[in-house]
This record gives sequence, C-alpha cells and structure tokens, in this order.
Amino acid sequence: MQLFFSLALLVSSLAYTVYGVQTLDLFDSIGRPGPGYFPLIIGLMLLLCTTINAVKSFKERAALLSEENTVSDEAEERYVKDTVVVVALITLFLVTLNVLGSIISMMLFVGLFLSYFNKGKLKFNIIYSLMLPIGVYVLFDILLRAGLPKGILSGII
Amino acid sequence: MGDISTNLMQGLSVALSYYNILFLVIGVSVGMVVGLFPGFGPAAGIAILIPMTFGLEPTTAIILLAGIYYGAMYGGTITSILINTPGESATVASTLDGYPLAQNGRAGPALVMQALASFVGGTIGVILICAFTPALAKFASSFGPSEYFLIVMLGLLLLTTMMGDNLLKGIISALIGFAIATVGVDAISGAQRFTFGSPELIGGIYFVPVAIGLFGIGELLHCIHIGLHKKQGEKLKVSFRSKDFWPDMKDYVESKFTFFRGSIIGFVAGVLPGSGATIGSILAYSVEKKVSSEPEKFGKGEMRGLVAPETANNAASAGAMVPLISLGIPGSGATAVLLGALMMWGLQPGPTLIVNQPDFVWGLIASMYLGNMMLVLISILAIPLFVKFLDVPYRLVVPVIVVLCMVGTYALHSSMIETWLLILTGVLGFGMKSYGYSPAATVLALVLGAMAENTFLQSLIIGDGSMKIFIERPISLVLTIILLSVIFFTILLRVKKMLKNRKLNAAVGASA
Amino acid sequence: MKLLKKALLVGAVASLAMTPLTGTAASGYPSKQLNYTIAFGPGGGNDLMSRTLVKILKKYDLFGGQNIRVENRAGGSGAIGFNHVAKQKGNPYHASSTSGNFLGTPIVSDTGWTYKDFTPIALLAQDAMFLVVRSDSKFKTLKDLVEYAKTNDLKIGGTGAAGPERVVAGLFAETAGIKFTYVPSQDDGGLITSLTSSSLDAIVANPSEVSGQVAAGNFIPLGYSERKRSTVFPDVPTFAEQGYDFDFALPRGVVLPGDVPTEIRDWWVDTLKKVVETPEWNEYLETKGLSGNTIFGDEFAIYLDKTDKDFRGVLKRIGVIK
Repeated sequence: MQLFFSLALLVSSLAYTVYGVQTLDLFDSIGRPGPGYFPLIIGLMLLLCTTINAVKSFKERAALLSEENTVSDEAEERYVKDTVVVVALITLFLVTLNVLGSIISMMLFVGLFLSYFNKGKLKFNIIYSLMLPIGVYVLFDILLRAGLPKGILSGII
Repeated sequence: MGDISTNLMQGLSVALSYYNILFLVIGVSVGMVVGLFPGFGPAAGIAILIPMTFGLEPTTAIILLAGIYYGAMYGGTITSILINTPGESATVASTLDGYPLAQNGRAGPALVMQALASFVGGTIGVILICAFTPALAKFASSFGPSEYFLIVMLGLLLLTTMMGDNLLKGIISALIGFAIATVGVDAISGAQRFTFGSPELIGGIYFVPVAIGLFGIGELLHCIHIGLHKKQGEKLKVSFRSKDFWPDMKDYVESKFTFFRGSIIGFVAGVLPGSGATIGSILAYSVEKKVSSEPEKFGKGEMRGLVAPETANNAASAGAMVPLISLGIPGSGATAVLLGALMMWGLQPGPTLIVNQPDFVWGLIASMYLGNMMLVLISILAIPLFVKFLDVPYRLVVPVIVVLCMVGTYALHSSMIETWLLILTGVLGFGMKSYGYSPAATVLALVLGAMAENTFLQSLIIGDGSMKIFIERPISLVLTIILLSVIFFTILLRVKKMLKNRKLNAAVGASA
Repeated sequence: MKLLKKALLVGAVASLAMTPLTGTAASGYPSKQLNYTIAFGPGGGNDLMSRTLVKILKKYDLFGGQNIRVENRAGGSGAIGFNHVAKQKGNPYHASSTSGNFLGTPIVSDTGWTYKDFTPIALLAQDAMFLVVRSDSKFKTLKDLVEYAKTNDLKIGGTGAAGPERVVAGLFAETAGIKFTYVPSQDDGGLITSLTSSSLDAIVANPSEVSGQVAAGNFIPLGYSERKRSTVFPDVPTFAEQGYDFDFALPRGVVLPGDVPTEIRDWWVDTLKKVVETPEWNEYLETKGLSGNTIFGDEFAIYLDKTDKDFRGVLKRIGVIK
C-alpha cells in the first residue's frame, strides 16, 4: 500500500511538471523569470524527491516480502473495507449535495452511515439522521446565512 | 511607561461601559462558537457577522468584531486539539502537539493551557502595542518586497523543524503545498496557471478547504482505518474537581519561559503585514524545539509544543493591529475584513487614525485585552463540554465531522470545486497520515508559497534582475545573515550528529 | 430587537414622507425579493459600495417594500460572482455592482462572460487613480519624474499585473515618451509598504488606499487620472492639465442580467437617480474619495464600450495580452 501511495505521488509530480512545461512560458518577453519558472523548479524537485521515495518504498517492500516469517502485512487489525465505505459515502454526499439539496443529502449520508456502522439501533439512527441535518441547516443557513444548496426543496424552504 | 498606562486607561474608560462589555461578551462567545466549525476562521467569522454591526456605534461595533476575531481564533484551536482540524493557518502549528496531547488523554490540561497561553500572548501583545505602536509602525513600513521574501524564506526554512522524523517525506509534503500554491492567476505576469480553463480556479486554491481535507477528513479516514469506530467511548471523568482537568505543576514549570518567548516572537512577526501569525507560530514552535533539551518529545504530545504556537499566534493577532491602526495596512485576512469594516463606518485608516480618533483606537486595544480575559473565563467554563465530545463513541462522531466539514467548506464561497477538493485532499491526507508525511508542512507551504514567489520576483524586478538587492538594503542584509547562519548551523549540527553516530556505531562494532 | 424596530420605524416614516416613489413605469415591479450579488469578499471596495446602496434602498423604501438579499460570491477576481448574475438572463430580480474587475477580468481571463452579457443601469461613481510618491523623495511634480526617467530606470508599482494601475502607468509613460519598469504587487498592503520602504520610486493607487498616508504627509499625489479634478481632492492636478493628455477611470455602477425588459431598466434608472440624491450616498463618495459623476442607461453602455476599448488597447500595446 505504501508503495502504491509513493508511486501515485511520483505520477502526480510527473503530470504537474509536464503540464506546467507545456502550458507556461519559462521566461517573459524581456528574459526575466516568467510564470512557468517556479512551477518547473518545484516540479523538478518533486520529481527528484518522489523518485527517491518510490525507490525506497520499493526496497522496503522487497525486504518485507523476503522475510518469510511475516504472517500478515502488519500486526494490528486494519479496516480497509470500512474506510472505502466512508470514502464512497462522502462521495455520494457530494454528488447529491446540489441535486437533492443540503438537508436531504445530509440526511441520506447520516442515515446510510449509521445503518452500516451503527447497526441494529433503528430508532436512534432515524432520530439522529433527522436531527443532525436540521440542526446544521438551521445553524449555517438561517443563523449564519451561509446560503446552502436548496436542491429539490427549493420551492418549499 | 507613562504612555502605556495613559493610553490603556483612556481605552479602558471607553471600553468599560456596560453596553460595550455586553457586546464584547456576545462577540467573544459567538466568535468561539463560529471558530469551532471547520472552515469558519476569524476572517469568515467577522465577514459573516459584519451585517450584525450595522446600526451600532463604530466603537461598539469594532469591539464586537474584535471579540469575534479573538473568539474565533480560540475556537479554531479547540478543533485543532480535539479533532486535528485547524480552522486557520495560524493554528496549524498547534495541531502538532495539541492533538497528540488530546490522544494521550490530556485534552483537559491541553485546553486549559491553551486558554492560558492565548491569554498571556494576547496580554503581552496589548502591552507591547501600547508601548511601541509608533516605533513599530516605522519598522513595519520599512519592509519592502526583498525583506518580505527573506522573512518568508526564514519561515519556510524553519518548517523543516516541524516535519517530523522523515526529512524526505517532509520535503515532499512541503513541495506539494508549493505546487498547489501555483494554481491560479500569477500576480506578476497575469498568466493563468493550472486552471484548466475553470473560472473557479482563477483566484487559486484557498488553503482552508485543503487544510480541512488534509487534516479533518484525512484524520477521520485514518481513525476508521485503524478501527477507532469499533471501540466504545472511554468514559473520561472531567470536571473542575477532577485531577485530570487541570494542568499539573510540571506543565507550568516547564513552559514558564515558553510563554514569554512565544509572545515576543509572535508579536514581532505579527507586526509585519502578510502572514504574520502563521510565520510567528512556526518560528515560536521551532525556537522552542531548538532550545529544548529533549526535542524528540515534540510532536508526540509536548505541552511546550502547544504553548509556544498558541502564545505566538495570539500575540501576533495583537501585533497585526499595529500596521492596521498605524498604517492602514491589514496584516491578515481577518484584519483586512476589519479594515473594510472601519471604512464602512467612515473612519479613514492610516497614520492619522490614531491622532483623529484616539478614543476609537485605544478603546479597540483595551477591548482586546478585556476580550482575552473573558475568553479565559468562558473557555474554562466550557472546556468540560468540549472534552465530553471525546466521550461520544467515534462512530457517532464521524457523521458530525463529515457534515460540518462539507457544509462549512461549501458555505465559504458556495463553490462545488472547493467542496470536491475536500474528498481529494482527504484521501491524500489519509495517505500522508498513514505513511508518515506532514500535512502541516503542506498547508503552511501553500500559505507561504505564493508570497515567497511574488516577493522574490518583485525583488528581482526592482533589483534589475540582480540578487544584490538582498544585501544592499540594511534590513535585508541583516535578514540574509540570519538566514545564512540558520542554514549553516543546521548543517553543522547534522554533520556533528552524523559523526557522533558513526563513532558510536564504530564503538559498538568494535566491542561486538 | 429594538434596533430592528427602530429600522422599521425609520423606513416607514421615510416612505410616508417620500410619497409615490415606485410603481411608475413597470407596473407590478418589484413583487419579489431582490438578490444582490457582490462578486467580491466582504470589506472590499465593491462590497462597501453595494452595501451602502442596499442600505439606502432599504432605508428610503425604494424597492417597493420587498426584501433585498445581499450575497458575497467571491472568487476568480469577480469571475464567479458576475458569472452567477450573467446566468440569470432576463431575470429582473438579480443585480450586481461593477468595479474595475468587471471589465478587467474578462480581458485577461477566459471567464465565459463579458460586460455585454449585462444590462447596464447606471454609472454611479468613477474610480480614477493617483500617482503617488514619498514626500521625502526628490520628486515634486510629474515633470521631475519624467526628467529622472530619461537617465534612470524609473520604477512604478501597482496592484496586479494587468489592472487599471498598470493601464494608468502605461498611458502616463506613453504620453510623456518615457520608459519605466512596472512592479506588480499582490495586494494593496504590499503596494503601500513597497513605497514606504523606498523600494520603488512611485506607485499608482486608488485614492482611498493612500489617502491616509497623504493626509499624514507621508505621500504626495502628483497626478490624478480623471479628466476633471476630483471633488474630494481638489488640490491634486490631473495628468491632462500637466500636459500628459490621457484620462482613465473605471466604472462603479449597477448592472442587471442581460435581456431585462426596457421598462424594468427605466424603473431602475429612476430609482438610482433618487439614490444618488441622498445624503448617505454623498457621504459614501466623500469617504471613499470617489468622484460622483453619474451616467444612466444607454450612455452607460456607450461608456462601457469606450473604457473596455481603452483597457484592451493599452494592455495590448504593453504586451500583457495578445
């Protein structure tokens, strides 16, 4: 997993540098550093550091794999599936935020989250997923006048 | 000294009316609550609440706004400590030791010490304002682009001291921040960089969504990953009478000098317009780590690591008032909004303000002092409530954090791109947290990166492309010398350590 | 609560005193809440003007008793907020205030809208620029600067790379036949300290940004970029009267989304004519150092065309845009 993260950083650095070089001028018309000058320096340093980092991660992984007595990746328990579920729920929240409006998408998020992570407490979960969004809405939209998306409720509230 | 007391007395006589105190209490309390929400730092807090002040006397209104400023600053630190989510770049450094302290079960002492640190920092700041405003105004106005570049570089250099153990990963974290800072219109050439044709990105990427994503969502994903949601909440018994609530003697004794160092460093940094409070908190933290006999404790829940940036950022918010009232130059986002408010009431900020409106200026400063005092009282009363939050089972806390982070970010600019950024930086933050990178370095580099680039290019244009400008101007020369000696000593120390380790290894090898 | 009551009372008295103000041209308008979008953050120049305007509309009950919702939509130097208003095509319940970026941002960036996507109502004030030097410098008149520039590298600063500050500096150099180096600052605070710290020879800035320093005797304004002298600073000579024949000022006005019916536009023109008569409005002009020369309706549209052309022309000649 760490190797994957290091590689992702390396690829992003490469994309940043290449895109910067392609779209920005290195120098301005009178030869002073132009808009692309700093991005190139940052990009090159990023490339250098992330490459070293990726090689390091690769070696660590190789060392780990060669030690045959390692039973699992790490000794402690990890909850990869739960983490993915949370990321997916947050993404769903974002997708629905503008379409359904803030109140409904908040209720949807809290409801789905609790039905997965707080199983078997139906009554509590329903109350919680109704009250929290309403409280947040009152606070931000009415008291702080933040202007949250109304979505399909736009005619009603 | 006579000046200080007459100035302050004059201010107190203005601020100490029942009416003004009432608004101060309202301001401080509202500010504290607003500051608790991710994304709602002092600048946003004041901006949102400006309409509340229409129809008030200017002095009362500014007292209300100053109260919000202080309260929000304080509220933002509470979230830094409890859920590792800073609301303002100036409180990023407070997460480094504040959050580990809370995780070690010392949330109560951390919050009390923080309130105390804020109070001391603010108080020393106010005294320094009264004593030195005219002199300091001159100091601040002698800072041109070359001086700013050097001071920002100093701040960036000191970032490495807060990067944790792995230097390579720390540097990568900072570089990511710089890369994000290059998005948007380049102030020097006017060219659009990395905007992909989106008008929403023209103004660049604001640091608040990045900070909330990296810290707030990233931390949350990390906690789920290690299974915090499967645990039942531990019942922490926190009340005023319990021993765990108050800091112990050791905390006070260890950090007695930290209070003063932090306040002075913060104040001086705050006087310089720009990112005063942010640089101040970094400086104070790294100085504290440098002078400590056990620097390895920092980042793992060291009280001094919280006290230093907290005294510094509060002293800096006082310091930021110096250029605001004496030059009409805002030193931070929050003071920029205050400046706008001043003009809205027809007051003309600038060197003449203090001459034409002494009641107003000293009233404002006195209210800052009273505001600080009030904050300590209110916060100590409220701390058990905040700490209770940690008792709630984590799986019930997650929806609250997610909803507040999302809605708070959206409310900032009604921008969907910024809200999407939250999940992107959230996943990035999760990776960074899990594999030992430094989100704090990323956020701070993002805040300071653009300033470093702009002032560097301005200096080059002014100096006709020559770097001589950094040694020709007297203040620049001093700063250059400081910068070079910091680099020199850092390298020296590292080489020394390496040699020592090698010797040690050799000795171990020989004996084996 | 008491304040609210007071405000309501003032409103009621004012509306009684100033009998039929509304309902002349467009029957039934306004019948809904107005959304007033400010394309910048709170506390800035545009925000201040918009909030003053809305305050006056409310105080004298000029918007038919309907509510006015003010909203800051900052971002992208105005690109976001103006885009939001431009998208409300034909909807007379949206309005916004213009300032320099209303013309400037679409010129330098691809925003998806230009000033042509709006219905111009009125130009309420003009934002002209000062050229300022330090009072302890050797420059006492514009001529001193021109002489100096013949043998030295004159450095003039301004906010941003392609804003009105650069246009004024560029026009000055063109008419004086000199060369200079433009140093862009990222914000107003940085601009002022780069002059106080003697890093630059002169800066071009909004009168309101430097008036504090001018009043304190630290800065001296050498030239003013409007055709006529400013009513607020009558002692400052214009560029034109010193022989540098140009003028440049940016519009601070009110616009509605594009394609709004003519009778609604006329209703707004009439209403804003009442606004500029109020003492509150004149007080605002005074404190901000804005000159209060007003233009309405079609004339405002022509003015926008001309200023946009000047703006583009200068930026093209100095090579900022292609």
